Amino acid sequence: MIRFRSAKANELIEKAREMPSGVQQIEMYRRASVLADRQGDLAAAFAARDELCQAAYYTEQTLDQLIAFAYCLGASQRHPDQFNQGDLMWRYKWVAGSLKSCIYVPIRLYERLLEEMEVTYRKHGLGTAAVDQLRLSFYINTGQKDRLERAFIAWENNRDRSGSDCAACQQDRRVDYYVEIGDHERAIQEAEPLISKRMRCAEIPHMTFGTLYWPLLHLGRFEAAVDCFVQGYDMVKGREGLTSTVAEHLMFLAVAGQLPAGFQAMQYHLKVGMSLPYEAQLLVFYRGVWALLERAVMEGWGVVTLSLSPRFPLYESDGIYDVPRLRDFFCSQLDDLNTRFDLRNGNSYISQLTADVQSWLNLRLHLSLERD
Amino acid sequence: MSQASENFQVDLGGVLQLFSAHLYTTADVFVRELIQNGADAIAARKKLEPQWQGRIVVESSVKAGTIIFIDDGIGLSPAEVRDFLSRVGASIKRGDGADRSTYLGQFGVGILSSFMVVDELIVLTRRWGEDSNGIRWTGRSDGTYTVEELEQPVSVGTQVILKLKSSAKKYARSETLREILLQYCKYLSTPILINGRYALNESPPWELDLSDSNEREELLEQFARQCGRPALDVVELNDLKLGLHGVAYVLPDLPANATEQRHDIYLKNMFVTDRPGDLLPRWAGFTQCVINSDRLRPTASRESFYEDRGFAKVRESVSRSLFQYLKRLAVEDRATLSMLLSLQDVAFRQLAREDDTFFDAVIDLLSFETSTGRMTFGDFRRENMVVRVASTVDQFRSVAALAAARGVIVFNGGYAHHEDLLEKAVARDPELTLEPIDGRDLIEQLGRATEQEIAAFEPIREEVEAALFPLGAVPRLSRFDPSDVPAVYAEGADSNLVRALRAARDMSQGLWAELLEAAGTTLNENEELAVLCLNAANPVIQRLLVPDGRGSGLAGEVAKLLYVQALLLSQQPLTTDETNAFTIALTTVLQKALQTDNRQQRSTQTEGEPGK
Repeated sequence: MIRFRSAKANELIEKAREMPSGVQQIEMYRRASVLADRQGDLAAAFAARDELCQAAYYTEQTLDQLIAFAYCLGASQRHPDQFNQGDLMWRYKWVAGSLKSCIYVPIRLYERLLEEMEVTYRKHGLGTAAVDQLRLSFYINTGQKDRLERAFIAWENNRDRSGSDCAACQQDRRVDYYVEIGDHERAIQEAEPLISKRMRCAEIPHMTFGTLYWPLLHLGRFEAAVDCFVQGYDMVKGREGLTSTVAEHLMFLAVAGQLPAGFQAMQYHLKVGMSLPYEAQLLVFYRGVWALLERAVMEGWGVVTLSLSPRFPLYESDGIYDVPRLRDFFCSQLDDLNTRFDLRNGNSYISQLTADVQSWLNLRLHLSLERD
Repeated sequence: MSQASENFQVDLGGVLQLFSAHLYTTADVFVRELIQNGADAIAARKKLEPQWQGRIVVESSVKAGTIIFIDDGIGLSPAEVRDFLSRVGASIKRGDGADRSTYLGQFGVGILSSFMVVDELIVLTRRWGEDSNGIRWTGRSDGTYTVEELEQPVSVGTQVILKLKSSAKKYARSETLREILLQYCKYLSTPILINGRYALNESPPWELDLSDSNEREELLEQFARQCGRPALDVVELNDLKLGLHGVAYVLPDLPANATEQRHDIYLKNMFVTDRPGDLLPRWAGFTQCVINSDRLRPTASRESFYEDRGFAKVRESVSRSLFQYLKRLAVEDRATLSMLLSLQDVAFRQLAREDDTFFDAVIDLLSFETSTGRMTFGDFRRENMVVRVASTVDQFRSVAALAAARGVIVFNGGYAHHEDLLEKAVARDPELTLEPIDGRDLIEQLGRATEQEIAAFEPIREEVEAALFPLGAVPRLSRFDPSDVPAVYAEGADSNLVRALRAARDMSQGLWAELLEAAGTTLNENEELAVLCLNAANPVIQRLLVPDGRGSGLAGEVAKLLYVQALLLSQQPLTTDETNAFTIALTTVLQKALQTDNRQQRSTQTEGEPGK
């Protein structure tokens, strides 16, 4: 009987592990998982998805993350002797964190997810502070301002932090909270151990520098805001999974009137930013790009020369782009997402964020990036 | 109620133990700290007495278990002894204009490192220009100390006397001391004697004039001798504005583990670390650098640096120098540049993606996988103007065979930075155009089968569909060149994602099933099935379409064979189902062919028999 050698899913998993992080690696894990399914190899199917869930988290591929995790969780329920559900709890938190801003997950469904997560965490002896923290972030992201304070207090008072994020990430959430309630001084104070790098992790203080712009601008501490760009931008340039922070830098450059630097950054990030599969990230990215173009139009820029991907919908082979046309394009993308998110959240919080940026642009500040 | 403010109670012995045992990664550093203190003291004296040469003497005795570090620098006054030796963590300033904070060695923390190797430390010191015999300071690891004025005068300068713990007696050996001093202090300009022998003080490589070919050769030979491998070239890394000096040796290969590439970083000629962290760009692995800077700020242990603005500026400057070198190679020595590019393929591609000038310098030298084999972009550009790119490895595989058969070059954009570089090439060259390729796109571009062929396919369509469906594919009839390819296989971009979604749904229940249902609204689930495109121009397919009844009953088996053949052409991995299907189909087809052949033979024999 003729036998071709069948490729093994485990071989593909190994191959994917050696690849640099990115969509190609994700595709390899997907392929491994599908191959394992077809070969009826449950252990490999689980392993491929477990790896995929992590790789997708780091590259903001939320859909892959959800699909892979749901499979693993289901497999651990059906085959508890083979797969330990307790091992999935860290991933659980990641997935729940990613889903909080997913446009296709209705608010009520997400609240049920947090309730179920709380039960599951208790079952596995893990602290529910992780759930409280997610709940707080969820209220921040969806503009549920009346529930913020209570959620923050519940989180701060919940001392059972096993299964929680690292100390630096938790501190960064405190900064988020104070920014959101408009306590700018306190936000800056809470950020101090992060930006001095006494507390740090793989994503902090990278993200903190992006968050701090707004309290610093509100307090008129412009030089400190410039420092956030000088120190923070290089930390996220070229890093996958931090495009929201890149967008904050773009918004700052727009507010600061630093258009050449802004367009340089936009040119660098546009392709990755526009191909983000996760609407929440896309929304923030579009807001940053729109802000830059809006400011350029305000300053009377007619055209700009950019080296963009030929896949860009308004691609010009000579690299010369009409600024108002670009602005209109991104404005319409942004409006569409604003509307969809507001519809999902049941308020106008997301649209208001764009209006806030517009207010800052209207001030037409000119802040120098040169500091020494 | 009154409130009293009180100081923390500090267990100084415990603090000393903490500092000495946990601040440093190796006890060797006490030698560096004491030498640095001596060098700084000599530098301070030179400020007041410019003709002074100064030197450091190290004397050790294995028998007595002692080491003495003697310098003829500025020495310490009683007040300075109190400030610098007896107050841990005090700010360090000298009143005479010699600001010690400007020197690398700072008494206070550094001297604590000695408590890694001793329980008691004796310092005899006499201040330059002061009329006194000098002072004896004795510090102990329990945090206590005594100070006394000496009855007999000592020389101006400082002597540090170490009575080594029994576990640290190895440090008294001349060879051990010499090795440590060589590691840390060989480029220090202050002369150092160990047990009566000048053994140190090499010329730093950054002080050689690399524009002089003899000095350059000498440096390369020295590198080869010391490192046991030759360097291709050496690059200057000087930036006077930053107080930065250094050289980068260009290597012909990478170490087995590129992340372990060693670079020696010096601060004011004193070695600090060979693990510079992010001081060098990711793509600098083709070099081994020796860098000396006075702009870097060491951490308390002086085994690494703060990543502050000075650090960033040094990094920028080193990157710029190496980058200029690569650009020069692009003009003067493209063969060497090609070789270096291949050493660190991913890092250089990322650099090219980010930097336009580097991109222009190297894009034609970079090689890519295409449907007609590997080729450099320069070779491609000479003959072609349309850059066709498949975004993932799977998509590339699904189109490569067909593209190759049709003489079309398709790039595999599925590796890190490949697609971005190809897009950038198109964006920077107005003569090029980009054509993204998806397996389905290529299928759509194939020619249509004729009306007759489509009609002929209808009677066997159901049978073919039934055979392919369990394998995850649907058939389609087209007509394309070359005619010797009977079938090609293609998948949509999200095929695997849709399959994964379905599998997850089957596995999940309750809330998670609802979440997956919600997620499914964002996907086109028709994408799941692959397409097997049968070529009506191919003789096998034509035979299958002949309405003589042969196709019926066999068409499904033939379709399975063609499907597996198309997968193999696309370099797709075969599953067990597919290999089983292939084996069974092949056996069935062979049996049927043999039966037919036997019948024909029997029929021929029968016809040939006499009387029939």
